[in-house]
Amino acid sequence: MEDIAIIELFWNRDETAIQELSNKYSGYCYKIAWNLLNNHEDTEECLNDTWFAAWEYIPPKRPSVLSAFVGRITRGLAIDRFRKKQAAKRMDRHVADVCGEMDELSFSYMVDERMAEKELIKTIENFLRKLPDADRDIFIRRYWYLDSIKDIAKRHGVSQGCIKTNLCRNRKKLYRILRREALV
Amino acid sequence: MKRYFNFSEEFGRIDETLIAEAGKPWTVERSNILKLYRRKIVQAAAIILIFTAAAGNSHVQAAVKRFTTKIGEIFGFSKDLSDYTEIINQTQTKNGISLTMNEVILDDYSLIVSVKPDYGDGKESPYLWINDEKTLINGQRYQSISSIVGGGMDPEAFAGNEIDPETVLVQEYDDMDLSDGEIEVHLVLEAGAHVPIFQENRSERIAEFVYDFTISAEQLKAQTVQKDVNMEIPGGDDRRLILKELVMNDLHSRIVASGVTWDDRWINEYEVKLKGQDSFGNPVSFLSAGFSSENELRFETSFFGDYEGDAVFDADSFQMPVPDKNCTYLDLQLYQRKILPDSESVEEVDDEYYMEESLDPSEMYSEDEDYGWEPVGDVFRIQIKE
Repeated sequence: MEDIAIIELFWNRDETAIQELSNKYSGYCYKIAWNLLNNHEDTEECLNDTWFAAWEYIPPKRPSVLSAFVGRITRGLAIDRFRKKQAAKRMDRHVADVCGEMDELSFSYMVDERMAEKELIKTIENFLRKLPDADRDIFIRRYWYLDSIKDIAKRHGVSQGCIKTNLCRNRKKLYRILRREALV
Repeated sequence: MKRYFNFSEEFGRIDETLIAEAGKPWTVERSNILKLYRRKIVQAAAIILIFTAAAGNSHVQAAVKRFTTKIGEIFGFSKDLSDYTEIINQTQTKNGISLTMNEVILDDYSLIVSVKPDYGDGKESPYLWINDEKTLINGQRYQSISSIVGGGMDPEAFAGNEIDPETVLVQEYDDMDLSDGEIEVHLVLEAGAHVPIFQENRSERIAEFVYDFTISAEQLKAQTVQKDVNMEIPGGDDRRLILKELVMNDLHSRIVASGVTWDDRWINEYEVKLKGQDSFGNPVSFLSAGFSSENELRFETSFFGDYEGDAVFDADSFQMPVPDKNCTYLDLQLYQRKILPDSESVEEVDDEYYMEESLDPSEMYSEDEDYGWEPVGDVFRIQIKE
């Protein structure tokens, strides 16, 4: 079913909307949640939460890109679920790596306006848009979809070392840009 | 006020178009089709050029007449594909580009369409591709594992030549397991200049063409041979490959093997292929095509034959490496070729990471040394029929 028709079902409060959304995007969202949770039960629960969150959000929202909209919900829910379980559980190597890399890009800074916080997301988006297509895809697959290095290497048909290099270079580049923007 | 910038949270809020773009399969069409497939496209182009130039020759003329479909002609299939081919013949015009979709072939492993584009008076030939994200087969989206283009796509290869612009687009899939009967296809083609994603008017510069039609994959599926092989053969570096399944029809053939994983050192240091002949004496070649899952290595026949970059061939000698589906056995041998890193591309980034690209083997190895391919183990036989 076309995205626009699924969204119409949500707006009409037709409960088949959830089934249609699940039919179309369960594979897509499962991968996102699985990348972080690595557990079938947790991933399934995360997906159920995603469909019901979508029911809550639509309406009033009318997503322009439905895949990104539900993927974003799944990612947020998976991160929340992961954090709750993190203390009690030893982290998987892949998860530890991707979290460590994202932590490298987190920092404290002084700000007196909420506006400044908003600018940083724009800075990230501008950075991504100026990257070559392949670099942007690699960066988003790693830090939005939380893919493993191995999966990204497979997707692009290059060695894992090449992907690590690419990510390392662009992390450093982004970190410098973000720090500069935060200080200004 | 002190604030903490939490990257993982902030990154979750990035623009939806960026997320959606990265959510699509990574295909060469979306980045730079000519860069990655130049060699293959030029090979396909060469076949067409030779056929065109030799049309007056009675021997070649006879060969040309064997092709009853455009798809067969452009890729040089030795078998008549007309029984499997659905003629659509629908023309749509958008943004000054006119696309006529002529032929479609569908089976569990591929969607093949022939399209005749008319780009009007535009000086620059736009790119043409199948939108994997929007294309639905029986209402379902399948993620393709590769995309191939044959025919009139390469502006450089065709510069100055008055040549049929008919283009064949192929999406290859792992295994769609299509149902019997009529299958509904919602095919979305896109054509336009290569516009970087960050350009605001990007969508305006890409024309979308939607074709809805039904097609039966039954006949091709019925003539597809599937054989459990379960044969162990020696691999390089003391590995053992287990050939699990063979699938073959008139379009393509594949062998699925286990015994190595994606991160295996041998498979990362060597290219591999299975080469030999079928019981009719047809040369066959299955090239390593990556992993379907972590430990399932796919060997596939190629639409472009098993030719090296500087190999010279003409229409008469060009050979599809697909075995005849009626053959009783395949005699094959495993070959490996060392992947040579380009030392000039190695770049130190920090202590841990480095970047390397591999060199084009056809530039490193000569024809005399079989372009670097060396046999592994002995010739073995896959018995298909008793």
